Amino acid sequence: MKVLFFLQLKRALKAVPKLIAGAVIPLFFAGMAVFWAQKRHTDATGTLLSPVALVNQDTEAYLDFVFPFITNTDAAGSFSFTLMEEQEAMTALKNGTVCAVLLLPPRMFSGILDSTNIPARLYLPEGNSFPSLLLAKFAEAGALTLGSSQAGIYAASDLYSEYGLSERLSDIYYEINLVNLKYALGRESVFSAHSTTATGELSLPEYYGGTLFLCLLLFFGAGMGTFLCNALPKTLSDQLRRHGIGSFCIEASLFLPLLLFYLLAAALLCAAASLLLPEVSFSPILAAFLFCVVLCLSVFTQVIFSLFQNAGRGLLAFSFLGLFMIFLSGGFLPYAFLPASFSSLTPFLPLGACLLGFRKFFGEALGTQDILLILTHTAALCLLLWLISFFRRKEARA
Amino acid sequence: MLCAEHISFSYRRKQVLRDICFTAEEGDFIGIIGKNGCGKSTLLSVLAGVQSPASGSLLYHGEPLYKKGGVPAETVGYVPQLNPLLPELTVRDNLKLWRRNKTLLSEDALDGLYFQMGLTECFKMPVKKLSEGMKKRVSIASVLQNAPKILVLDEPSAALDLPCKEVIHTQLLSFTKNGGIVLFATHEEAEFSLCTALYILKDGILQTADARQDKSTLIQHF
Repeated sequence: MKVLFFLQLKRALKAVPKLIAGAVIPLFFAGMAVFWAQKRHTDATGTLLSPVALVNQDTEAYLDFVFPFITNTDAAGSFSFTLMEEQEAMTALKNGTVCAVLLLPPRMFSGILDSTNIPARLYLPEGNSFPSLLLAKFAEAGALTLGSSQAGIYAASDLYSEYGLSERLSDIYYEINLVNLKYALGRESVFSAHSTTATGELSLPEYYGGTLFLCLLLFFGAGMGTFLCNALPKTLSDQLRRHGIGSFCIEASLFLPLLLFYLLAAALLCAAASLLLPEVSFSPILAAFLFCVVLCLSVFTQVIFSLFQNAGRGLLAFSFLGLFMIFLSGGFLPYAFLPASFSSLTPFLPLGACLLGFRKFFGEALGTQDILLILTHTAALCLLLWLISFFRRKEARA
Repeated sequence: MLCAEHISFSYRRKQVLRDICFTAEEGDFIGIIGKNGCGKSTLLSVLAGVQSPASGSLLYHGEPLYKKGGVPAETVGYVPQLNPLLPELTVRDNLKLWRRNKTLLSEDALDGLYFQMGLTECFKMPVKKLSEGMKKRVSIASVLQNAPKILVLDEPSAALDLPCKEVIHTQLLSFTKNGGIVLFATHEEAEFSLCTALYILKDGILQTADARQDKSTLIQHF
């Protein structure tokens, strides 16, 4: 039996370079999947922008200057402005493709400067939606700010003229503006920047880092599982049984190289992670957690390939089950985009428990209970493996 | 003496072997022929202990061969139709896998079995790079190296070239000359002449045949 263990290890070592090279292709697909998930996440944020049609009737040349100003202010950050013709804008408002139409009348901008104050018109749909109401409030606040600023400037101007200080008026415009802005609207308190993400407390690299680590381990394991499965045609296992090497020992001889290979892959990935994320520190609990993840994945791989006894079918089942579990555990799309039940299902899946551990590690909350959860899954998978081996032996003897 | 008594075997409801009985003395070369799918491989796997019979017994010198752990491999060597080899490993590693006494490997390699089987030159070659004939030689050598008393072979020379068949036949004849018993399934007419006894398996029943009969007469019994 010692010889069998040694030879299986030798076979596995010989195959390592080929297996690593073979992992590149699924790695590419994994990268695509993660990219797609991230892209979808970003797009989801983009859809929050509310479209507003901007109709310009002003023939003066101010718009080139004012349009970027409007679209880039904090207040306008939640709106997406599109220049349109009036007819086109009204149709869009009617169809509901824009939440408001902002009509800039002729001489509006020069009116602000010479205090004729020609008002802009804001058209909102009937039964105003939330974005429309928001825009109405913003426009009202803007008009009040502008009005109070103008009133302040006119008051100061009249006062200086009355006291014969008209020549010095230009010197204090800057200060008047500051005072007006201070009283007109507390912009900083109204518009403060808050970033929210569907990945909760974790940043996107941290969230998808765990998924990527697990996916890479799975891909390495898939190659190894295929290789080991090919090693055991029925005639070989029959002959081994004749030589007194039972099903359990055969499984064990396959498990040892599998575990060592997973450990090697995990060590390589950890080395890469420490280069990419130097702030991540390796602690004893992380080492214990990673070992348990590797143990769990090794048994999972062995169960699947042992169950199917065919490299092709085994690979399909292994990839499908592995990726499906990661999907259910919110590995590709955060829980915010998935049914609520998926979140409660995660601890009951072997790979889900591993993913939870990774997330807790990045959230600095990794504890022994997470390791115990993975060990429980490993024990359950071991039992399943033993049952498969038992029935296989029974079948062979029948 | 080997004595098979009333061996029967079924795959679920289908009975493949019915009341198989035969005897073989030391030095016997027993051939089993029959149509494809008639149960020859099943019979050999049952005789080798890979599968347990539904009923019957196999006695060697009056002692039952079927024990709790199957048929002992040191008494019965079995060469299945598909080679039980690890293709990525070398010939030496594969021979080592099946060898019971690990220390004798290099000694035998010089002038013993491996040399006679033409394996010494490819000792360090991976099995996957060998021809089918060489693979079959490795399979047979991996069994013969343990010096079993009985050798069970399932179509050992199927699809092999003439030199390879010759090497295998020579080894098998040498084995029987030294007091071994060979039981083998074959479709090769040329191999009938090697047999001291020939049996036809039909409908699960083993019948005696005359190896000297011409082909057309034998076919009538199929």
